[in-house]
Amino acid sequence: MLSAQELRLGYGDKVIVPQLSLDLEMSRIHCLIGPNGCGKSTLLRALAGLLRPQQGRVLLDGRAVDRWRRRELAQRLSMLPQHPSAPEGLTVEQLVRYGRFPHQRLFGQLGEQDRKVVRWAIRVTGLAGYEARPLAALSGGERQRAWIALSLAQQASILILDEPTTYLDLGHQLEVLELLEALNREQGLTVIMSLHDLNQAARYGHHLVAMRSGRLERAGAPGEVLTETLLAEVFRVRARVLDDAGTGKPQFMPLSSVTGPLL
Amino acid sequence: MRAMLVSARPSTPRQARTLAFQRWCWPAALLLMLVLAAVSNLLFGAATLSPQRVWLALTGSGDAVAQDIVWNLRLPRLLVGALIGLHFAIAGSLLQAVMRNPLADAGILGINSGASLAAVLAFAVAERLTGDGNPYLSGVLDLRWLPLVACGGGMVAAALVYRLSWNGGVTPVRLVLCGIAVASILGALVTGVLAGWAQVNTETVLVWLAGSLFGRDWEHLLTLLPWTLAALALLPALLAGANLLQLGDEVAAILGLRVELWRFGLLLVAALFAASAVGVVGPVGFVGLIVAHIARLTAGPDLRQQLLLSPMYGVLLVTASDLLGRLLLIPAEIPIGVVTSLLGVPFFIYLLARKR
Repeated sequence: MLSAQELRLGYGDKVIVPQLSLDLEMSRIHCLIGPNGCGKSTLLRALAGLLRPQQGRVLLDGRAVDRWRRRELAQRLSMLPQHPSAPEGLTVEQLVRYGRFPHQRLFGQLGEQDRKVVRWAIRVTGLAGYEARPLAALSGGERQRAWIALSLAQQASILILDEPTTYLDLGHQLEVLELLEALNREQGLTVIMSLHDLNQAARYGHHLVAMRSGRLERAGAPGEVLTETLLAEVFRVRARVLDDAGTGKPQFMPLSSVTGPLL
Repeated sequence: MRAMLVSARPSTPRQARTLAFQRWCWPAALLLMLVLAAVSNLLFGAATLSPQRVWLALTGSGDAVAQDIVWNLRLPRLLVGALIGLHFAIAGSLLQAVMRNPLADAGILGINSGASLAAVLAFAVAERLTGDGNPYLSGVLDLRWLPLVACGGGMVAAALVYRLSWNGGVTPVRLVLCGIAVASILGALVTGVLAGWAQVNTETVLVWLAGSLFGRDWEHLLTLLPWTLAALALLPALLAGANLLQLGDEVAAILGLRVELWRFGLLLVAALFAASAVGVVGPVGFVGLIVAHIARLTAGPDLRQQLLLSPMYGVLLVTASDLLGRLLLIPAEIPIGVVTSLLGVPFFIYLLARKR
């Protein structure tokens, strides 16, 4: 269980998330939704132990994440930031090899097991044959998958992703989401990600967390969260939620913005 | 060259050739240039020696003049130059990787200035203690202390720069800006100490401050060598972490690296390399800046491969610059620090312009 307890998050004087508590079960896909600037990225960074809470704490297995040794935490939890950057000329394989760092000894030599994991990570992300390509020569979708391969090579059981589908075309978006879904189903990977597309969140997420201006608006199964009222209140969208035919995965059709044109 | 080296498609003959070039041909060519530079350094100078005379002198026979020039002047000078080339090159590569900034260099981050200030202060104090006369000759200031003193100064400067740029974390850009500021202040203090305090041997110090290989002999080589070995021994354990920092602070932390601790530690190790060299030859600037950049272009993004090439470039740059400085104005010499600055400043401006 990864749980946030009465977190206050911010940078210096600027408080982004005033108070938030949240429990995230293992081996589920959790989707964070909310308008731009509502604190999704900040919350994700705190969950990954990258941002020290001003108050409260994030507990993983009952221990605060900033009490974990960084390397032990890295064997348990991985995160892909929104805009990762690599040194010029880095190839796919070189990138993915970095994922073995938390499992390596002092001098950073890759063992047979490490190489096997690297090959596996490259294969499941559909990048076999691309090992020697520099990241800069890849398409957006391929590059995103290369970074996901890095996280997978880390073999952590929790993967946090900050808007993994941004800037990808629809086909690549679905590829990434299907990959995460398959990893969740087959390996029990816990996925915690922020998504912009609400229908995708409802379709792939087991558990939705809706945020607005740093506050937790509602959390629960997609059917409980994605309602016409919530869409109007949180996203200022008039929408019709379509019958989910008992799947618990509602889809919705946006009709108009709540405010309408200001012209 | 970069485009040629990295854009090859996988598993093609062309890529195989590119890899072979990267792995073998280029280092081999580099090695050849190194040998050429070394030989030229032994042959040419105020007096040109024939290859035959140099060879005889090296093998222990031949005329006394040639033996004296080769064994007491040119060979130790060449070796000291090679050693400091290696020092500044490794410092430069480490700093650029760790700061993720192609403008990082021991000179720009204030390390050289800190080392210089400490050395000049030590010199001035020793001069006071001796009353007058050369503190070297009177034995108050042993040459062997200088790398130690300079390392102290360089590391304090590095720590100061780090502390000043700390704001809940350190970004590479702020680090470089603080480094430039601290370097200027320390540089001004060096001038101040010279103007206000030291008297007799100001000229000796000035030559040293220009960064000079003049008169560097076996004693200097033996003084620096333990520092080289100690710093090199530290290096292998640091490479994997230093390499990881190139992916950015967040990803490095996620992969299990204690980013701030490592960055600070690597800054100190780079300071160890650069400052100990400064202690022996004075602040020779821009070597790390130029060399680390070229190493990154030719070796690719892996720091471990860059560190195989950059010391070679460093040795080549220093020995070639020293040769140039010795030959241009015979019988006068241009200190190597001046030559590398003349080469380095346009390079720095070129890098700045390329970054827009």
